[in-house]
Formats: sequence, C-alpha cells, structure tokens
Amino acid sequence: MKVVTNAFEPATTSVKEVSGTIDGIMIRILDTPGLKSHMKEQAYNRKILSSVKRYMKKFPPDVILYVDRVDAQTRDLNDLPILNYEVFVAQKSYLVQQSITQAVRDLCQLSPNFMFPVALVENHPLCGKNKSGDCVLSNGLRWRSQLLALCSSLKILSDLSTVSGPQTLFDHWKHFFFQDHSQPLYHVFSSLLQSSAHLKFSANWN
Amino acid sequence: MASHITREWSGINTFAPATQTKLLELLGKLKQENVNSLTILVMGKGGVGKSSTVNSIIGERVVSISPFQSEGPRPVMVSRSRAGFTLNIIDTPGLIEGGYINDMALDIIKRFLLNKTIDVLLYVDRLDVYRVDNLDKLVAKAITDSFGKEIWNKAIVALTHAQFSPPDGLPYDEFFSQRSESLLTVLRSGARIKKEAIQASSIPVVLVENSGRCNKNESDEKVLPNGTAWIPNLVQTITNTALNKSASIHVDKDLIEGPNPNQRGKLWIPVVFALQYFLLIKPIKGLIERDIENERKPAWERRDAGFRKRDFY
Repeated sequence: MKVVTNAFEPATTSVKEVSGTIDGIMIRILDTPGLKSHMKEQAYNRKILSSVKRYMKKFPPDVILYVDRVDAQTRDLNDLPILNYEVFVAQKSYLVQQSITQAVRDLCQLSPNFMFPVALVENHPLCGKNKSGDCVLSNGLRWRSQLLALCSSLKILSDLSTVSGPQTLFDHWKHFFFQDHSQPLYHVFSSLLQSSAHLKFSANWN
Repeated sequence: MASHITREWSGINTFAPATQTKLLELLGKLKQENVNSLTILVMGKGGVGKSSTVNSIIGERVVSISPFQSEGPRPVMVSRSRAGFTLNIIDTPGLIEGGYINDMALDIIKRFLLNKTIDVLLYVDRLDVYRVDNLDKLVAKAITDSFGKEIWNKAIVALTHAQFSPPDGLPYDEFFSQRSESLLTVLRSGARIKKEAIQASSIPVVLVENSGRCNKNESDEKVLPNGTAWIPNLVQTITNTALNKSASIHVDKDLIEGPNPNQRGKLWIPVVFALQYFLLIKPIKGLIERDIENERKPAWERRDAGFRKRDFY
C-alpha cells in the first residue's frame, strides 16, 4: 500500500505520482485530489485541474480513470429484489456515461453510440477471495485483472491508432469492447498486432 | 389534492414482537404526557434514504422508491393511528439539484407545510459517506432560513446504510462518532448555531438500516453492528425530542413568506439620514465656506467683487 487514505479528511491534497511494477510491466499512476461538486467551488477545481495538466505534460497518460461510487445517489437497493447486481451496475454505468457525454457535448464530438468501458473496483479488505487469493466481486469477476487488462488494451489500441488513424481506432474500440467477449483477448489482439511483446503483455492478465 | 386519510398503523404488526412492545410502550408514554399526535418532517439531500426510512417506520411500502430516477417533486404526508395516537410523517424531495439548492422543491415543501406544526425534524444522511462539504452546509442553511433556528431544537440526525464495515479497519463506533461529529459541525455552521448554544450540543444522532438484509438479534429485531435494535432506538429518540422543553414549529404564512425585505431596517432610515446630515454634510459645508473665505484672491477678482458690492445707483 503506497498511498495514504483517510476516511474523513481529504488525504490527497495535491497530485501525486506513484509508480511500480506489476508482472514486469512498469506502471505509473497519477493520483489526484477529488473535485468538488458545488457550483461555487469551481475555482478550486480549476486549480487542481491545471496542476493535473502540468503533470500530464510531464507524464502523458495512456488511460484516464474516472472514479465514482457504484452506490452513490441510490435509494435502498434491497427494496427491489428483482434488481440483480449486473442490471444495477449496468444502470449506474449508463447514468455516468450519460452525464459525461452531456457534459462534453459542446467541447468535443463524440459519436452518438460512443460508450466508455467500465471497470468495477472493490477496495474493501473484506472483499471475497477466490482460491488463488484474488479479490472477486459477487459475479465472480477478478476485478484487478480486468482493470489492468482494460488499461493495457486501451494503450495498445491507441498505439495502433497512431499507425492506422483515429477512425480505425474507433472501429477497433467498438469491435473490442462491445462485441462478443467469448474470444480470449489474445486472439483478438493477434489479428491486430505484430509485436510479440504486446501479446505477452495482455496474455499475462487473462 | 387528494384527501388525506389516516389509516390504522397495521405496519407495526410486521415488526418483531419485542420491537412492537417497545413501540407501544413509547406511544403510551406520549399519551401520558397528553401528546396524541406527532408530526415528523423528514428532510435531507437526495438519495440518502429518506423515503426508505419512512417506509421502515410505518412498516409498509407507503412511499415509492426508485434507485436512479429523481424523487417526485412533491412532499407526501403519511398518517397512521394506533391506540388513539396518530403519527404523521412527511417525506420530502431532496434539496440538492445539480450542485445547488433546489429552490422550487423548497418552495413546494414550505407551501405543503402551511398551517401544519412540526414536532420533530428528521435530518437524513448516509453513514457510509466519507466527506462533508458545502452542499451539506447549504442544506442546513436552507432549512434554517425556511423554518428558523428553533427547528434545530427539535431535530434528530438519522444516518442510513448503518450496516456498514468502515474502511481502513476503523472500529464501527469510532467511525460513527467521527462521521456524526463532522456532519453536526457542518450542519451547525450552515444553520449558524453557535457551539455554546443549547441547540448545538443536543442534536441526537441515530443509526438506521432500511435494507431487508439487516441483521437480526435473538429476539428477531433488526440490529446494527453495535448491537442496538434500531427501530425502537429511533422511535425512543423521536419521543424524547418531541417531549423536550422546546416548542414545536408552527408553519404560518409569515414563516413561509419570510420577512418583507422592504420593511427591514426601515426605522433606521431617518437616523442614518440625520447622522449623515450632522456628521458629514454640515461640517463639510462649513469647511468649504471657511476655505472660500480664507482664500487669497487674485487682484482682479477683488476688484470685481468690490465693483459688485458698491452701489451704483
């Protein structure tokens, strides 16, 4: 555990760079202070964001992780027994997608079908574990591996797009994230990549 | 508006027998003190569990809940009676909309409450939230501006989602105490209650768990991680607050419309005017006249003045 957290006061008060290695791959994370939601605190947000921009110039990111709570702004889940976990998560993801799309509509052109990939996270120490000791969610998902796989895929796809152009990126994106996932990542990538290093990279996390 | 019907509080029968006994005891205590009815106003931000809490107290799903849609814009009053005692609970829409206070919702709430008397204010928020911010302060301020500081004498803070494992291995009671303290601090600040004032120290905080998964004790009562049966505890706190020395808040037209801004400080106008005249205008005029007299005029001007003063005819 490298970064300080606090249950009551903001512990991350400035942008922090944390780096390490996972399975031989160097990962660098920029942890940022939380943004405020009150309209009158936008000056604070701008200050934080300009500090983030400075760090981004030094360490251009391959992935931006937008973090929110799955259970934020919801009523009591258990009053609707029909609602299962998958549906609930899908609805929440949809809402966040909508907010983001609406917010950036004036600033950049997003295709109407554009959807961000969503990764689930459980940081609580009492998270259920599978036989190998990995944290699993209630649907059996090894969330850490999925998150890392998504990040590495994003990086690979954007590296690809510098070769084949941004339109192809969107096609790969659509194809990759929203089609049938029964094919292991390995096979999907082998049709796109030449470099074996990249293949090893994502094979590790599946 | 649909006519308001008071039904039999049959929901109590859905509680564990031990809980039912405790509740009936508390109702008896209220009736002994000549209190035959109680009106509870439930307020707070959106999505914290206000409607769920109302449903839990009544014991029936009286208010509809949807996890993702915005709450209905209208307040709802639910009335139930048992053994000659009537309980009125008013559920309200959340007060925050898009980073600001939802003034329209606040207005609708105030108009709904016209001519009603509030015996208890139940301020609802979640236990499992890690930050307090300006929005909480705004909500407290809006409540104070609408109903007056006195409402906080009749207030209880309810923290929902109480069946919760605190992060970082913090003990439950410690987390609860810190969360209560930071929320109370920001509420006091928004309501502009001084720390030393009586209101500040005595706002009780209760824990609520509305989910069907709530753990139960040996008597089959819903319990919190610290062993308290929360329904009797909440109703007990409501009873204590209702019977405390402070007066209930009667919502009349003046309270809703607020003081007329045109009337504010009207009596000061002549005073300020007089002060301005005597302390500013007169002395400055005097100084200017003195300066004119003492001025060393150039020769041509003195000659001119002299010509003017002389009588030609």
